Amino acid sequence: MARGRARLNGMAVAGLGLLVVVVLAALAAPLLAPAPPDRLSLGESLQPPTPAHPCGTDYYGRDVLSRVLHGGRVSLAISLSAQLVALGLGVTLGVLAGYFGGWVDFAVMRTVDVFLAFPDLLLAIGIAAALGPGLPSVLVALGLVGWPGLCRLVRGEVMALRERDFIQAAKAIGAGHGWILWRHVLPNVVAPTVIATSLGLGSRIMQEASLSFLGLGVQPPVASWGSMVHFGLRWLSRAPWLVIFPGLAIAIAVLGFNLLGDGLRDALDPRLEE
Amino acid sequence: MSGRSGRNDRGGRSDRGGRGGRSNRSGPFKLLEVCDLRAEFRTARGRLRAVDGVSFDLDAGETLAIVGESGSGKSATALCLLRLLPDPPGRITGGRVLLRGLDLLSLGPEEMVGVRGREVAMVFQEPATALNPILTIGEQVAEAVRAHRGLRGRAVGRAVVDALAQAGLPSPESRVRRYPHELSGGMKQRVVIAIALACEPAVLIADEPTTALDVTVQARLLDLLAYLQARLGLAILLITHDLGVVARTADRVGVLYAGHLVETAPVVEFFRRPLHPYSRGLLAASRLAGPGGGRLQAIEGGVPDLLDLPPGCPFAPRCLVARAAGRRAGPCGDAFPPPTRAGEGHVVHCWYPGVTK
Repeated sequence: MARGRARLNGMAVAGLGLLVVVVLAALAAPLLAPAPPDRLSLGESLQPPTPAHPCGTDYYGRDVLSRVLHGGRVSLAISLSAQLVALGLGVTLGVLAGYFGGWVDFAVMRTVDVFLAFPDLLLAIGIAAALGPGLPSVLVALGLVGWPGLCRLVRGEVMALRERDFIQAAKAIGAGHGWILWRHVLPNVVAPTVIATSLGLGSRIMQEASLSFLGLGVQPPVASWGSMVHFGLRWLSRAPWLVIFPGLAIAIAVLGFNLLGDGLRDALDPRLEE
Repeated sequence: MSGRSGRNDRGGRSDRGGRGGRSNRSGPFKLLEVCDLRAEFRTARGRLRAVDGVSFDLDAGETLAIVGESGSGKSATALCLLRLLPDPPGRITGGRVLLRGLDLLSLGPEEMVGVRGREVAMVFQEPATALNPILTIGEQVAEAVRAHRGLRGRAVGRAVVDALAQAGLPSPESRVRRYPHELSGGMKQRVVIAIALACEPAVLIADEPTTALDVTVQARLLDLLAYLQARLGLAILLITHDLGVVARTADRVGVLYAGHLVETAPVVEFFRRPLHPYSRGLLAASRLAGPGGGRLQAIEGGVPDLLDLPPGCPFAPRCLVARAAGRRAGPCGDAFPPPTRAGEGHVVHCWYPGVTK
């Protein structure tokens, strides 16, 4: 991007468009929502979609559209924060491991191996369950699930960079480690990190939904997309809209992040050029 | 070019007086003196002695060319001087590198960072890779200026343009915001030189600085180095395999073979009266008029396996003199020859210096 060469392809633009819609809808939720998300209206329990309630109502008569819009704020905020935790851990440790090598590399990468030995979701469930349900434990769980992949990616990039002449040249004019890492190494791992972050955000949304679906995520009355699916499940045969609309929101957001990530990879990664 | 005085007072370590301006002598110490430098690489097959007992010295305003084939230890020697030999697998195992009498090999890592760039700078072979592709050339020169000259704010921008202009980059003001890929190879190498000289070093190590460039660009860059040397009193250690470059720029020549400096001589003396059989072979194999005359002659055999060096002189297996002497059980296969002095500044390590077959 910095080189002015990258042109986003159609897929990436489509992904970006989806995300813009999703994020704007979440940000503007209080303005767009037809009703407050928590307003009970027992007389309107389990209504199918109507002009008054475009996505129907749940058992307590709450407007599903309003809850999907507000739930998006929760889902996106959790995913973003978890991804930031993963980025901080993964990039820092990856850069240090790749640059210094030796025992630093050994220690970091064996830890990564341990984390990668567990299936992502199982690990997240284990951590979230150990910490008890609630927002902070979801953040920690998803951050810890996300960092090893990033760390391995960044470490590989840095190991390749370390051998490049310009790093040696920077040392030869008296650059210290901090200077080299900040000015020469970090900027060169931005592109792969951006790609991985976009794809990672998609995974974080899915994982947050999964944790909430299992009851380990956000707790009532706060709703995220995953928890809406979780609580809608028991009415599935009578009121499928309780599951369909939050599920659709999850699908659209994940699709957007994946399309954007793939498109960015095509645009930023010269190795994939034909 | 102020700020040059007073560098000797840094840290109060090298308090041996100034370098005597631009004169050739700098007090009791040579500017750079390398004694019995040894370095090795640890490989899966054993220890590879890349630099094996190399000694030379270098004074301000002087150019010493180190010549040798690929794998002879030229670049390893250069990296040792800056303590930038990749470790692992490389390691300096012995010797001294004295900069105005101060042994660089005894410095701590922090102190060494202060020497790099400020006292000893390096120009790399491949300008395309020696520059960071995602920083503008102005930013890269500015780094060096900020780090070593303590300039801030607008003074940095001026110093950057000055450094680029001094390195002969045309219209530097308009190019500071360019990225490396927008410049030609020759211009990139000028930027690399500007970065090296922005720190006002006393010693410049140029590792094959023109090998990656067109012949015409090569000539202009060599002229530039000579001009900057005359103006700044730089000592240049020029690493090359091109005897044409040596003849054009060097004051003295050192011939490196399998990690050993087998012959050191003033440049005229070297071309007129090479004493080591390998030096004669190099000259005969180049297009410059050597003792071989008209036809180019290849040196038989190849560079020996550094992991499996024969005892004695490393050149002996390829050496016609040694072969002739060997029939009479000569010493070539027994021990590395001691130095023989053959005139002012002319030293050769050979059991039969000057003998032809």
